[in-house]
Amino acid sequence: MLAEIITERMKWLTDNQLSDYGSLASIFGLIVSLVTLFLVKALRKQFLFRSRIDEHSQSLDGIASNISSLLSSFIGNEEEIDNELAIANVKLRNVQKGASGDLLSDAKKARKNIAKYRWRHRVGFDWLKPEEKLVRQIYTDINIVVEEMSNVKKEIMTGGK
Amino acid sequence: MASNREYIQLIDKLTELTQSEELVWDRKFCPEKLESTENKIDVVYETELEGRNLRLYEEKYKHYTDESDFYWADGLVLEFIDDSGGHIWQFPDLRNIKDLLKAVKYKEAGVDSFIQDVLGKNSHNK
Repeated sequence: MLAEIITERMKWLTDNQLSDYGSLASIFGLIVSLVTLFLVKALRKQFLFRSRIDEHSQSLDGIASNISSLLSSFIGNEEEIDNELAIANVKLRNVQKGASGDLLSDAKKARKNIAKYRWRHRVGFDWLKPEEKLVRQIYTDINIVVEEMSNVKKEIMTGGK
Repeated sequence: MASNREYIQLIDKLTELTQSEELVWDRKFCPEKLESTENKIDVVYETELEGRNLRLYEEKYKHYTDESDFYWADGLVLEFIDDSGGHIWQFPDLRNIKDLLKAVKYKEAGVDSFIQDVLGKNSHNK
């Protein structure tokens, strides 16, 4: 049985012409190119994320401070909170592009809550208006993202990631 | 041991309680035993919550770059203290301690009532 299989394979190899091997090599080359392209794209994302990690972290730190100050009087500051959350959403989207693991899930969670606040704020029905509790949750989410970013930075600096 | 995530949630809760005036902090001059030649502290804020004493303060400390070269670095400390003001345990250095201190100072200065007093008087004058 095994001998038959080996004979068959040998026959297939000897029957093929040079152009067939060329075709196979082309297909293999295409696969290697696609994999390389995918890896380069992922590396580019990682590089951009790493090179801007401090910038993103500082921006989110500033936004969190502003939100905390605005929360000293939530009623009347809803519009300004919405503006701060709009900027936070853009920053978190950038963070999300290069993030992985806990940082990625925390950034996603923060953005989900931001979307909820902004939608409720825009709709404008009194019974649907966002509550202070939701903003406090978003503030905590952003603080956790900043802390995660600081952990990621430490890992990058020690060569852990 | 609690995670940083839990510390962040706890400090955010302290900020919320401070902003809603459910938690009131007392401003005190820096106790002598906290200061040394290596650091400078102006004032400290103390409060009591769930039977525990907490102390919050800003400090400047010498950060040495060499044996004799140093610069003054800033740090924030949130810690548990005993009844006589002795240090028990310090929270990790997290970004939201800065927001907590800001909220404490905002309440201590009475910014909201000052705005109401000044703007209220102005609107009466008009």
